[in-house]
Amino acid sequence: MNSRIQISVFICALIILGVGAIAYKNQVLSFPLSTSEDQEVWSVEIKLSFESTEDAVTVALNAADINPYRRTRITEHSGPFQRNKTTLENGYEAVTFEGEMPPGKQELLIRYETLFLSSTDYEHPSPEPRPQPVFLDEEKQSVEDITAQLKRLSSPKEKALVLLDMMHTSDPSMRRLLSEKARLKERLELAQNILSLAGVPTKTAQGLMLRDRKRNTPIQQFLLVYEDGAWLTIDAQEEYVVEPNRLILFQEGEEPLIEIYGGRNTELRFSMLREYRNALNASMENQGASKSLFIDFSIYSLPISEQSTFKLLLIIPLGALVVVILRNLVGIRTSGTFMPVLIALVFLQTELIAGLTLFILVISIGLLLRSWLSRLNLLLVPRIASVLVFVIIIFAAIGIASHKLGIPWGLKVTFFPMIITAWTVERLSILWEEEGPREVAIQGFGSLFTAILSYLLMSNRYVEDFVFLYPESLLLVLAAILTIGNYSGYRLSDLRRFKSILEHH
Amino acid sequence: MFGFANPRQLKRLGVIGMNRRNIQLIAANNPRHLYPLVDNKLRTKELCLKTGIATPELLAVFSAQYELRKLGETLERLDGFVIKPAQGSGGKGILVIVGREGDDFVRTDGSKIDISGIRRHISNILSGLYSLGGRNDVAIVEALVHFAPCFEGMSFEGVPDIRVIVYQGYPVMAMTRLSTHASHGKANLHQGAVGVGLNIQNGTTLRAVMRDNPITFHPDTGKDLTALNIPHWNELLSLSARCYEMTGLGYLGVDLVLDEKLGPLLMELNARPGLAIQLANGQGLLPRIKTIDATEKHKHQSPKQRVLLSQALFGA
Repeated sequence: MNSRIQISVFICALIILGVGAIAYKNQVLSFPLSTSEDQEVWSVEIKLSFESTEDAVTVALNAADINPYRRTRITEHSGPFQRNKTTLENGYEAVTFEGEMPPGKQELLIRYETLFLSSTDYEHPSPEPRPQPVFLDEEKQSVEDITAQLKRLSSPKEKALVLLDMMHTSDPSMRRLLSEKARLKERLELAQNILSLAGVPTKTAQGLMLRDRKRNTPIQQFLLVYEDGAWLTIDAQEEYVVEPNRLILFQEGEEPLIEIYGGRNTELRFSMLREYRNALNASMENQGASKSLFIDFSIYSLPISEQSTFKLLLIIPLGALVVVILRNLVGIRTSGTFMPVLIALVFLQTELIAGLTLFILVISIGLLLRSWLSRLNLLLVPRIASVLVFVIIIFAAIGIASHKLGIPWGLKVTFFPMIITAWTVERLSILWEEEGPREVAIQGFGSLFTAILSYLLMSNRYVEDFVFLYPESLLLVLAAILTIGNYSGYRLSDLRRFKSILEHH
Repeated sequence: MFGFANPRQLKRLGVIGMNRRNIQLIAANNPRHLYPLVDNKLRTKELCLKTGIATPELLAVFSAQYELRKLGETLERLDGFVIKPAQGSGGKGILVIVGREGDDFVRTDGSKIDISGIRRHISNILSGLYSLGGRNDVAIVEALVHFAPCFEGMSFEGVPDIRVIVYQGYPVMAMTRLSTHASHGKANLHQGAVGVGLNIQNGTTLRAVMRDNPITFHPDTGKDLTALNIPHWNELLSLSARCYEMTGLGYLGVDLVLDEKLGPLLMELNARPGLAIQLANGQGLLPRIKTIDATEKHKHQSPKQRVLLSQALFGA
């Protein structure tokens, strides 16, 4: 009884610890529930064509990151260039590419990756004071009219939008300030001036509207309006506020986006592509993580390539749990305790149907060959060694045959662990001789059934993600296993077996 | 309902399931370090000799391949004998020779085997073919049991044995296991042998089952199984009860045979006896376990006293 109390306390502790850690990570560290929550990642390609005039060429890309909700990184670039980062006076980073090349037509491809965070603690830079605009005397009246009109509106956003609207429609006061054919640059200049009179801080920026699979998109000028401590981006042509995750802002003001030394005839083209990428990895990469000990001392501190190995390791206990449930609660007989889990791991790599077909094929041929071995009365170890050789020959034969027949998944037969397969053949074969084919069928199907269930659980993306994000859930798995280990009630098979006792009474 | 028993009804009858057996009976009563005493038939035999418990006579032991050179010499004097692996389980690797015909040996089913066949069989035993986990093993040759006439026609091609469950030294349930054609002469219920529940009080039959289903007649010989009446019953029970002191195992399956001339003999002991005995008896083990747990105060009872108490408590 004492041990029962001990184990109950232990199980409770495991549950509290596991649930607590999961809740903490979910609530406080705001871990997602699933890494499969895909995140939109925009891949932007900048193609710069130019004619180099000197041996050494330097390209300065002023495409600084000025969008508060965005994390950008240059992932790759092409051509004989060396990439350097420099910090500009305003604190933004600029990137320069330096390279030596023969004179002639050259190309520089830069690929950006951009993703948008749902929320950040980003502090928008407060507006810098704008010099008092100067208007000609004949303009002053119109400006005052418009300003008066704007002052009646409450929010800076509305003011900006109404003003832009006036510029497009033939508002009489506006006509006096701006010709109908005025270019965007002039309009923005005027809008900024009037808005500053109306008490709205503004600035302009160059940017790129994000449209999937768009090639050769032009760079656009945007008007930024300061409202409630944040900068809103307004498309001056279409007169609407652009959602922050719909555009990339590159450069404030009107300075050129790219400067080139040692080249001429530059041509700049942008193309973009929307991808969906694993949200967790993306945010881990971009957040610089490791703010919390929980993250710092966890699987995420490992290189990504190692993480995937651990991902596989972490789901194995789930397979073990399935085995425990099926054996101790249901009473299914399997050949070899954890052999089904290993088979399920193979199924993860081969897909279910292909894996099942291959497994049944290998085991059947193996049993056939093994039956011939039993007549030779070999010693144990040489016998199993021979079975191992058989298994490898079967693997090779299936591989070659399926290749010739054009069945691509046949080659996946090599994923099956050879030693385990050999032992399975050996065990089933002995079972056949001692207990007959019926028992072989029971244990064979029991094993396959267990393997299929384990596979279904382990291959479930949500389950896999959850365990990976919250390895603490293994404590819960352990608690479940311990609970079952302490269960002294009936198995389903007991209920069937002892049924005739009830009839006796 | 769908071929499953209602668990509540089973519980009311005190039927013990596999999980409860493993936790409450085996793990709680049988210290693991004692297992080798019963898992190795040679050690059990040595122990029996020391304690004075009758077993079939040990004729020879082969523990290495080279000893097989003496095989012909050893078998020369013998008519009927049994060769078994010391660490076999479930009746695996047991070769029963009932007589001779010229140079050949006759097996239970009438088939013949020559000396090289026997040598190969022993060689297989030594290399671990029949042992748990394929460990190297020892082959024992013991005298053939000529079973008592009361079993005539009750068993097909095999030695009928009596299984007694001994809990804390008290015999709590008993059955006799009769081999059938389906069980290939083996006395294991899950292989298709017949199990006949025996009244602890006097050894009369209670009920017979085969493959979990009640039967009345032996499937091969057609004999009425209820007619079985086991002699030397008290002796059988006290022999089983003494195995508790001998091994120290609190949950023990004692397998006995009844020899025509020698009377009850201990065949082997089992530290993980199965639950089929409940089916053969048509009763659950748990009420009897609980009764014994409740009478636990009487320590230092002699095996005889325990048998008397069991008979009084569990007689049907």
